[in-house]
Amino acid sequence: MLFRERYEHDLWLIRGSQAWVAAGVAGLFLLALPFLFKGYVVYNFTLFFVYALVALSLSVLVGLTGQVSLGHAGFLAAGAYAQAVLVSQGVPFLLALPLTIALVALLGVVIGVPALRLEGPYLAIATLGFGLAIQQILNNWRLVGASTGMLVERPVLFGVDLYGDTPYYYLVLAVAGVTTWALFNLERSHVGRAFRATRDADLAAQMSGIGLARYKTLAFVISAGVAGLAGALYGPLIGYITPESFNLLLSIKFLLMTIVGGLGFLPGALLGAGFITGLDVWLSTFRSWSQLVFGVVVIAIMMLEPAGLYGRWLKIKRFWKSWPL
Amino acid sequence: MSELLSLEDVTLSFRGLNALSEVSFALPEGQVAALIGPNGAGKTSLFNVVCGFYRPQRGTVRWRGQDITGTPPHRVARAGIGRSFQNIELFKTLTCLDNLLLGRHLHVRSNLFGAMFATRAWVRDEVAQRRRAEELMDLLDLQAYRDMPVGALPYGVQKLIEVARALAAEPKLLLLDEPAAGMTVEEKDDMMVTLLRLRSELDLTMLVVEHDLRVVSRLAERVLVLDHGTLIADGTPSEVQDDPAVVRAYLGTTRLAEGASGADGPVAEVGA
Repeated sequence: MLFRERYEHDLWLIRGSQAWVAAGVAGLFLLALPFLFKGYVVYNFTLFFVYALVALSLSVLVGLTGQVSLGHAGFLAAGAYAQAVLVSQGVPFLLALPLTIALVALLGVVIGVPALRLEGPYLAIATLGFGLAIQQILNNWRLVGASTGMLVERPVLFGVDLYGDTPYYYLVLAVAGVTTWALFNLERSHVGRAFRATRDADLAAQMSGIGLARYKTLAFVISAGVAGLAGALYGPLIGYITPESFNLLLSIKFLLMTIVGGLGFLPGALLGAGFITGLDVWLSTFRSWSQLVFGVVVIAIMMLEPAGLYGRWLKIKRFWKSWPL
Repeated sequence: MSELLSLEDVTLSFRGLNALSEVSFALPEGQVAALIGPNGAGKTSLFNVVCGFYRPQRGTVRWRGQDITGTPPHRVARAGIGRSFQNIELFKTLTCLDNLLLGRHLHVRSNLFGAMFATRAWVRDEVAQRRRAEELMDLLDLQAYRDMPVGALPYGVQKLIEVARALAAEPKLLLLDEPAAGMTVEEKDDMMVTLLRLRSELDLTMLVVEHDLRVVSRLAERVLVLDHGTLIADGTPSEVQDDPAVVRAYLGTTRLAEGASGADGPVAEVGA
């Protein structure tokens, strides 16, 4: 569509016939994936969805409001453990899901309020401390198995056993799909604009009627809630959670996803999550060289395209739009 | 005319240094007043006190008779005070449209969940905000910059977008901190004409910090002069121009030269 004739057209998330075709093809591919590939591909795509949720949550916080977090593995852990404990206490899986989100969102308030006084590297260190603290707490908490961790079973929903990789894939696809849609909606709304306003010019944001404390905390709450949801899905996926699996390296990996994907753009978080997850899978065949290659690839991307994969995509799109001029 | 804004004995000091001392004045509804004074006279501090960025040590700021001293800025904005900044404070990575939509933030009626799940009510509200933003862009000739990130636009345009964003909130009182500073004569004229037009079309009350007396005398019916944090003169532009205290503040004890009201008059140069 060349011309936008109504204000509503500006609100569409997918614009133009080509974009609709691309979205349709991508959707069909994801729906048909379990029929096309073997189990381990399905498993890795499920992992990608979970990571994509964390990357998106981090993108809201770091990309939109400019608050850096090096502790998102902590929120992921909180979500995974909360869900596991609730389910083990007999709470139905689907009821435990919103409870877990609420619980981890609350944790987001606890971290977000003191974070109001911190910026940049100081906030990064504070959140890093939070991530480490969560790990330490879980390590010493007998109720949740301390350092031995917890076994997490995949649920049975409406009589359907999600034990297999394929049914669980569809559950995660559905939850991640709806959450992604909601976050994209949020980004283009007044809330997303207010987030960016607090990042770009806080004086002017306040004079536009935006309460800084409110929106910065809200970003933490939303980010924590989504990361918690990802955790709730992550536990049953890997089947066994230990404090060690939510280490600092994982937090850094999440931050890497949002930056490599393109900081400040939610679609970038999806690209980044896909890229890093895929790179991990591919590099696991390299063994001893994997960390080195990982580092080189990431440095190369950042040197060649500081705006990330999404920034590169925008440039390619612009080039084809104006071609052959 | 009822009083919109009034300051009573406002005193603000930073570590014993008085930025404002016992400043009192009242701004009736519909009046356009200019605030002038040499550099460091406390003009921006005064704005910051009104907007709630600073809390004065003594004195009160009243809005329609109500004490708003020390109210946080986003509440002050909600009450109906809009402001542009001396150093451009735009959301640089966002487009002109998004900047104006942010200006409309106060008028957004939908909530978080409406936004997240794109409810009908949210769409209706968002479209209404967009319509107002587009109208404002039409009014100020900003349509050409609609989808451009504002950080890359010319200085004069950025200044205008700042005014537009403040207007988008539909304030009762508009505080403009040097809207024409650093502009070429041509841009300055454009800005002045725009402000005059806004004044007549939107029925605004304005308090404008401006150094160029040519602009001041055409725009404002009243001039307040600050010097070292003290209000030294308050009157019509012509009264103030001849006020010996004002002349002294700007030029020391030297006599004010003849061409003061001209474009290149000495007063225009001092403190600009």
